[in-house]
Amino acid sequence: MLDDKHLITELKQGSKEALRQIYMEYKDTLLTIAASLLHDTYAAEDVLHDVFVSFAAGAGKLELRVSLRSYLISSVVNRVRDRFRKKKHYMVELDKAGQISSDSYNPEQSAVFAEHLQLLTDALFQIPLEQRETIILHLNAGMKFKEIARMQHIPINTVQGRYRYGLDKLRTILKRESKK
Amino acid sequence: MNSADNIENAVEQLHITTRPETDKRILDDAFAALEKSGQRQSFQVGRSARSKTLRIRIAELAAVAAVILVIFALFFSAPAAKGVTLKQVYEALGKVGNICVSRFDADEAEPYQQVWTSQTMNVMLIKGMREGQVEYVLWDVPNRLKRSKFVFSDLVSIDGISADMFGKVQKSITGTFGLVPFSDMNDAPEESQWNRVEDPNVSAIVPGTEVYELTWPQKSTAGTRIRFIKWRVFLDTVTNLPKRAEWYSKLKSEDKYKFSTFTVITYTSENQIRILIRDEFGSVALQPRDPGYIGTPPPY
Repeated sequence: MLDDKHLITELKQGSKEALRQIYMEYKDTLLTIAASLLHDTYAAEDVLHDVFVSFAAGAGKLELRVSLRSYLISSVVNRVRDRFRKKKHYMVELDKAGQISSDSYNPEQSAVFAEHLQLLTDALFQIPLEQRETIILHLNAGMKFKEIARMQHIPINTVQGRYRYGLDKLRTILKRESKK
Repeated sequence: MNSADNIENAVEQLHITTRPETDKRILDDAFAALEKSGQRQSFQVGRSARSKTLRIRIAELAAVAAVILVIFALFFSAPAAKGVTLKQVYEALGKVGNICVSRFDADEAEPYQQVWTSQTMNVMLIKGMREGQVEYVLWDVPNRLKRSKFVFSDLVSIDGISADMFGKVQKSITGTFGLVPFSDMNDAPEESQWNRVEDPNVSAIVPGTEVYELTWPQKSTAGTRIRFIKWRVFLDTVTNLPKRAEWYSKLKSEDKYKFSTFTVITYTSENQIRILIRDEFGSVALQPRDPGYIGTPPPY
């Protein structure tokens, strides 16, 4: 597979194969981020759709100054924010539309893990979007605090604060839920 | 999953895969968009002929407007009961070199659009929404380039500015910054009225200002309905420059005007705009029309 830089060069010349490779490379990462933020896999698929269609439409004019991965993640986050702004978000159970799984999925623990996973995604949705965004981008997308700060145009201390407060809240919510 | 470590591990391991039918739908639409974007480039050539026809029509309309111009010039040069005339507002704006105009919906605290215009650098920077994302667009007239980028991205798209668009952008930069209802005050309808608002509670909204209102009737596109528009402007008592403007409208059958949007105006410096451009677009080579302006404080 070609690297991102070459893929972008090919894409700018109208290569469908380059677009397909980019999509296949990043689709799951982007869908996971969108679904974790939205708590709605249908809406997350729509976000993924819009991001890629828009990306393809503007392909001829693209100039890569950050990594393609960062660019696509930023696009997803922006569209998620926009959905919340427009208040057109409808909650749907996370695992109804997509196939939710875990990299550490173990058949013997499936029942227990599925429950934990659902608890986690429910808990994530109960914390503020900014904190949820920071936690997902740092832990799931593997972005450094510095990268998140740059992407969101906020100081790194704010990012770290959001992360810390978010984790604290998650812990509190999960403790409360596990007692029920 | 009580410890933070466990939570972190669990979030790290979240993974959702797309369904095959989703992949097909997205790829089909993305391929179509890619093809369309390729076709659009050749489509641009055909547009220039159409825009030429449009320019001829605009010229014809301008000729008609010129006939009416004389009547309105007399009307607007007459002062309001006391204080500032509309003509003086246009004259004050004519001296401004660098400006930032922020536009808001009536019930919003965040602007839906911000426009920084620098006549000294001959550029216009617009911050607005596109496809649900905050986008900066820099109209760089000296280099005849349009640069655009989304706010959370460093990816910059660069396009040439067509001759047609070049004229429009140049007019926006050298004109009245889209601040006043009519780029030429003589374009205002004959029935327009310019009055001072004497209510101190209104002028207290922006300290150090006097408030005036321009009202006029406006026909709908079909010409069947008449809507009354009110433009309320808060003028600096020293410079006569607008610091805030509010837009209202009502139908003929309605008693009260409805507040729809407002504009906040700040008179910034060339350097502030230059820094903003640098922060968003990196070191763009902007060339002031007159090298003598470099480092020279602007008038406002």
